[in-house]
Amino acid sequence: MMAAAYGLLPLAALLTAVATAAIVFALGDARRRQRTFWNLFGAGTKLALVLLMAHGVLQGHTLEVAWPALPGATLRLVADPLALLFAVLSSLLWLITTVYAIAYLEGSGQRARFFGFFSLCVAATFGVALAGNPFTFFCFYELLTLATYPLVVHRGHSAALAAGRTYLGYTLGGGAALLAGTAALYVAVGEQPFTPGGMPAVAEWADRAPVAATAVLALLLGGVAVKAALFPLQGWLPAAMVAPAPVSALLHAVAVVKAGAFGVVRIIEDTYGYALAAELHVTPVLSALAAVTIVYGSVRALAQAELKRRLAFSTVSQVSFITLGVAAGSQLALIGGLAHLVHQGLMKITLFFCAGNYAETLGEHRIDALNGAGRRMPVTSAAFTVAALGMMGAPPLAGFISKWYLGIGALAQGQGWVIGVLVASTLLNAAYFLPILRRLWLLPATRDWPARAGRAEAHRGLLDPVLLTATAVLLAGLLAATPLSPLGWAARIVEQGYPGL
Amino acid sequence: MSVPEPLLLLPILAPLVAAALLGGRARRLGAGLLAVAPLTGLLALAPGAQALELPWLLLGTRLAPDTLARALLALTAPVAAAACLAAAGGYAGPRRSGLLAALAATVAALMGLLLAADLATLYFAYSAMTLAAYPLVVHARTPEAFRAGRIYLTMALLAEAAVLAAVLLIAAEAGNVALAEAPAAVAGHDRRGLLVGLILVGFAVKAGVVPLHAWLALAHPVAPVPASALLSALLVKAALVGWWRLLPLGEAALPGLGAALVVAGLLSSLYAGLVGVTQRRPKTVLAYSTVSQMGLMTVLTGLALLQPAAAPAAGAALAVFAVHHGLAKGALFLGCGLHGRRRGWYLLPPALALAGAPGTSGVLAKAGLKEVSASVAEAALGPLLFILSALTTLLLARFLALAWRGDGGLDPLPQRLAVLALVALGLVLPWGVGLRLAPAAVAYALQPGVLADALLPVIAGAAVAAGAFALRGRVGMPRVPEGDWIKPALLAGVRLGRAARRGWRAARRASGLSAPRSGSLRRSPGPPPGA
Repeated sequence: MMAAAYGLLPLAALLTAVATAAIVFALGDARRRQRTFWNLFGAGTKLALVLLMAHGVLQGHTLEVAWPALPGATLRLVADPLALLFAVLSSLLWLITTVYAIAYLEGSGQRARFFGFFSLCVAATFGVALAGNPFTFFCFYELLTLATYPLVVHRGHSAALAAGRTYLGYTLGGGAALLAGTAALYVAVGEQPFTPGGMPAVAEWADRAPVAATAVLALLLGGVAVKAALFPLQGWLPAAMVAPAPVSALLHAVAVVKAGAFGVVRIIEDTYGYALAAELHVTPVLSALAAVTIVYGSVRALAQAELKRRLAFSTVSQVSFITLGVAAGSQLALIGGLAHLVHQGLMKITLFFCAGNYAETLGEHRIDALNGAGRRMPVTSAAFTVAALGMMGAPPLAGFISKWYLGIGALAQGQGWVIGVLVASTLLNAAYFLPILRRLWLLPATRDWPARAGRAEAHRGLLDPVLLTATAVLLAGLLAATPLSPLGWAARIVEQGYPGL
Repeated sequence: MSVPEPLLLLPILAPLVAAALLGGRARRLGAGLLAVAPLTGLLALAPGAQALELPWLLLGTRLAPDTLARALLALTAPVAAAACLAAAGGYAGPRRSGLLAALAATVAALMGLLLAADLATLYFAYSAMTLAAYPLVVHARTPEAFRAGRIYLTMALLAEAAVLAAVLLIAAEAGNVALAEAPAAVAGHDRRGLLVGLILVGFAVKAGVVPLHAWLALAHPVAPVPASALLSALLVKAALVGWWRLLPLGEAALPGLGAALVVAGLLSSLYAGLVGVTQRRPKTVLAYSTVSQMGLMTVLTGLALLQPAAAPAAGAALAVFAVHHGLAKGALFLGCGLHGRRRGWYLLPPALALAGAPGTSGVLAKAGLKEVSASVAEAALGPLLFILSALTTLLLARFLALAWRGDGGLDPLPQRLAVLALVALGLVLPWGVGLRLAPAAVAYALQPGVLADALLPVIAGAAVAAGAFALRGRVGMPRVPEGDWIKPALLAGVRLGRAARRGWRAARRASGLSAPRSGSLRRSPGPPPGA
């Protein structure tokens, strides 16, 4: 009875998000209070369900639902620890971002459409997290593309539409590659569930036809590399900056880029298995691409004058740490990569929230206009400082923990050059974040900003989410050694799922 | 008396609590608390202590002071307290809370660095200290201060990249190793040469080893007086902590790198002494004196690297040297903040101590250095040390001549108190630490023959100084900019960049591409081609 109830949890959580979307669409633009209630109710319920799922997994229950969709293809949702890492992150940040978005978009039009697609986007992310086989993964992955497009073009002006076209061009191209790869995989080995360490059938097939297996792996990885913004497929990400701040925050921290990075993990670790991917000479290429992306994104970030654009290139760079951790091929590096999946999400969502606060409260988008903003908006600026230092990898913040594990994990595999990449990334991050901190805190204000309305420096709905996520960045690093920290959870995933790595 | 272990956190937390109070209504309380907060560092000196394990913190934090840390805590607590007292009670300039908060953060990081007993916590405290010191350097907010800050942070972060690489290399073999076992882990590391090189370079910037000393000479003069006291007396010692925690001292002999470090230290000492004499601002002269003295402490580290058997004696000598130099330099910098017409009398005892006048702690510090160097390199270093001692005397004579007369303003009591306390401690504390760690050196330093030996270089230096004083106005002193090589180097870099751009444009014109690709030239701010 109990076990059966647990089994239904994944479906219930997915339906919560879908139902929220449906209700919000049905309510229309006018009924603001009801929409706010349903938004928060949906996000809260889903978070509670996901936490319940995490509890169930800790108890040792199997959480799985499956139903046939096409002949030979099943939609299958499984809550393994890896899925939950992503699902907890996305549900938690969805709730926080909903609070933020409600405050941010107050008074702007088309909010029903916005929040409806917002919920759909999170439902798709949840599906990506819990997908139990390549077909399910592909379905939700494409749903994610379609659900985010209206968010990217939300403002509706010509620049937004152009960015939306770029976004669709890249992601649909990637989707096509992923579809081709998935179909080829199904033709070759039939339907197989994601298996930690790789699908045995794929290993047999690769023995028989290594060239075909390599080609399919390249197609699959090419498909997810678009969303993971791996060089040279990162072009859409800075363009998508035209979206409103909460969308950028969600896109960069959780939904889109993370779906790509998560796909890399699923394909390398659970479809082919690291050993096979290394045998097919794919992982060295992947490491090299990740390293190039890390440095390239940081170098481009240096030259950006607009805060959100700088953050966008920073995302390009930071997300590749996850890929790097997967491709390094040691347990420690994989732990670092998976922990960074959460860490980068927390840090980047904080940074985008802060950028949104500066834009919304002060009307500033450019970095050189932020002189002295620390005095006017101390809480926002303190949160920005914490997240930026975390990105640099300064201890005791989250980013340091990721770098520590990635570094020692790569060295364990004899890949000393990764240390060079980590160090270069730290220096470049310092070069593009520290000047912002200097402007915020040390330079005198040069602009006349609107005076504070009341005691708070900004709307509470804009401020509390920033405080929460910045605190999480701090705690994820400070309490890294505890079992329920992102690092602790990542270590559990790797120890249970990939003991042979 | 034994101290409950959680109290080991107090030296780190107390300054931060004080800083937190600064922002609110309890501003005066916060400032007062800050002045005594560093003294909580003395708690770690109580016998029967102590290791605090916090396995849930960071990657498993461990705090435990060892011998070197105890000696440096005995230095840090009073000097930091004096600097905070001088700032809280005597600083009347702009952005007072900002200065106090930055001082508090730097002190907390320093305490953490001294108490840290695991690799990750050490790196955490060290990098936190680097960042916390930046607001101290740029406190004046002048273009000069920002330039100094930029050079400080750039050099410090580049060095910290080397430290990060070294830390990760160690962690890959030994995990988040306890610092007591780190030297052995480094000694047995697969890439020991590379690792030791990274550690040496990584901490050399903070230690101010020439040519990586440029930031020191720029940062000290522009920082407010309490900040430069903290930088010069304590912050530079952090490099020694880094070296002595991680280098395989006493574990493995590294003749090549050890000899290189000894030579680098000696050259540093000599070069900084010579350049320092030409300087015109008292705080710059003191900054060069710090570089020069840190050179001698680098020599001690190099000797320990050269010969493992000498490492314990070198460690003890280093601790005594650091305490002696820290107290004297702290007193001198804080003394520079006094305004009284007769402030020279405050500056004289620590200056004499640094010069190594008989009976001062300087003799004790140099006795330790001589003892260790004699056991490793026979008499080779003797004459050189004589010259360096004379040079130090000359340098401090130059400083006293520049700084003797204050501008005649009134000095608040806390500020005078802070200077006096450090001057008095400087007469006593190094001997106490010496008796504890290197009793042989104390006995040696008190022999009558040694007193005479110590007097000779001081007299030689004083004679040169007197000669120069007599010739003043007739013989011009060469003008060396603060930070010596850095300004010419940066200027050369800028000129090279301009020349390269000009040359590139000329080459394009010559090759017939008179209409350059759109965008490439339009963006450059220079004059249009042909202008």
